[in-house]
Amino acid sequence: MTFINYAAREINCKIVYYGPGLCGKTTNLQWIYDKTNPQAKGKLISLATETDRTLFFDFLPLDLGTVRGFKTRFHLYTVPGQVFYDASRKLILKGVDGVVFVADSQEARMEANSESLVNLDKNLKEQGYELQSVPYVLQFNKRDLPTAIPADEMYRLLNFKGEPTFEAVAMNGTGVFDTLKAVAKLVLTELKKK
Amino acid sequence: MVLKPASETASATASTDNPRPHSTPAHTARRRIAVIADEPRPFRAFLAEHLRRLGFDVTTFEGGEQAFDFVRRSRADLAIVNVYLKGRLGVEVTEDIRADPALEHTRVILIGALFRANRFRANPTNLYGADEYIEEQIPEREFRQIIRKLFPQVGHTEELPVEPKEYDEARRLARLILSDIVIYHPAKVEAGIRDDNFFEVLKNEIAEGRDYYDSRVPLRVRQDSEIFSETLQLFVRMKREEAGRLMTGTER
Repeated sequence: MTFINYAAREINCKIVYYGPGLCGKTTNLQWIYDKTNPQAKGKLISLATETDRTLFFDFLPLDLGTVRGFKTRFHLYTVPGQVFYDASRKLILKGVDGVVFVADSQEARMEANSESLVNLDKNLKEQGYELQSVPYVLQFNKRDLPTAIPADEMYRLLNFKGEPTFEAVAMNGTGVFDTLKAVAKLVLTELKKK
Repeated sequence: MVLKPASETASATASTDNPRPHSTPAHTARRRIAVIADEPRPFRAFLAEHLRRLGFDVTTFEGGEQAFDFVRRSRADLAIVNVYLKGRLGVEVTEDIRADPALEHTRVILIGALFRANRFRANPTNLYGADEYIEEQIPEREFRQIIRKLFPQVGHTEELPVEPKEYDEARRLARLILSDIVIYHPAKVEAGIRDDNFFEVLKNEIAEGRDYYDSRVPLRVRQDSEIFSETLQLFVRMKREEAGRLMTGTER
C-alpha cells in the first residue's frame, strides 16, 4: 500500500525482492544502492540475525517523473530466502506495491525456485493480494554460471502470466537496473490508475 | 536481456506383558510431561526428540534427585531413568516414584547400561516397580511401540490414513531443506563428505532443518517414514560415490 507524504510531496512505494536462499536478492539491492546518487538515497539497513537477513533502503529516482505532481520514493526490501523463515517473509510483504522474483539459474535450485514462487503466491494471498494482479517482474540471476539451465526452460517453469522477465548477473550489475526499472514502471502505472 | 513470453518462442510447451495403560482423565487434557534422567549424550537426545514428536513436553536431568524432585512437582506422566545415575540410582528413583501415591499415574521406564561392563546393569527380571525396560540402543519404532503401549492415546488424533501426496510433499520439503543447507554451508558439506562426518559437522544445521521439517510434516507421515533422514543419507551416499568416481578417474 503506497504511503503519501503530502509535506514532502512524495509517494512512497514498497518493492520486495523475493526468491530462494542465496539467489542474489541482496546482491541486486547492494548494486542498486552502490550505483544510486548519495543525495537521492537513504541508509542501507540490514536487519540480520546469524542466518536470517533482511536488507532495505529507500531512494528517490530522479528520472521516473512524477505522479500528479508527486515524486515517487521507492523502498526496496529483500526477504530471507531459506525455507525456515516464512514468518519474516510474510511480515515483509505487508503493504507491498511491487515484487521482483529473483530466480537462481542453477539446475540444483530449480525446485527451490518453484517452492519459493508457490510460497510467494500463498503469502501474497494471506495479505489480500493476488500475484496475478500485483506489479510483478521475474529475474533469472546467475546467468554466467556453467550450471545455469537455458533461460527458455526457466521461462516455461517460472513465468506464469507473461510478466517482464530479465536475465541477470547481479554480481556485475547485468540486468539489475533493467529489472528495477520494469517493476518501478509497473508500480507507477498501477498508481496512475488510482 | 528481456525474454519473450513462451508463446512467442519456437520451443514453447512445460515390553512388559501387562502394562497399565495411562488414561487418567486429569492427565489427558494437557500435554503429557516426560522426564528423562540420563547423562547428556546422543541417546538422551534421541529419546527426547522422539518423545517430543509424540507430543510430550520433555525435561532432562543428569542426577536422580533433581529428576525425582521434578517428577513430583510436575506430576510427570512419564519418567525414563537410567539405572545408574549420579547421586541417587535410577532404581531408587523408580522405587521413590512407586512409593508416592500422588504419582500413581506416572509410568516409569528404566534404561539399562548395556555396553559398559563397569557400570551397574539392571536385572530385567526385577524392574523395581518400573513399567518398562529399555537398553541403550533401541530402534525408534520399538521405542514408539513401548510408549504407545503405556499411553494408548498418543498420536491418536493423527491416526488418519496418510495420502500418497503427503509423502511427496514431505520428500519435497526434505529436499528443499537439504538444498538450503548445501547452498548455505558448502565448505562444511564438502568437508563432511570428504571426511565422512557429514552428520557431525552439520549437526546444528541438520537439527534446525529437522525441527522445521517436524513442524511442517504431519505426525502420521513422520511416524510411518524416515523421509528427512533418508533424504540426507541418500545425498551423502551419492556425493561419496561421486567423490569415489572422481578419485578413481572413472568420472566421464
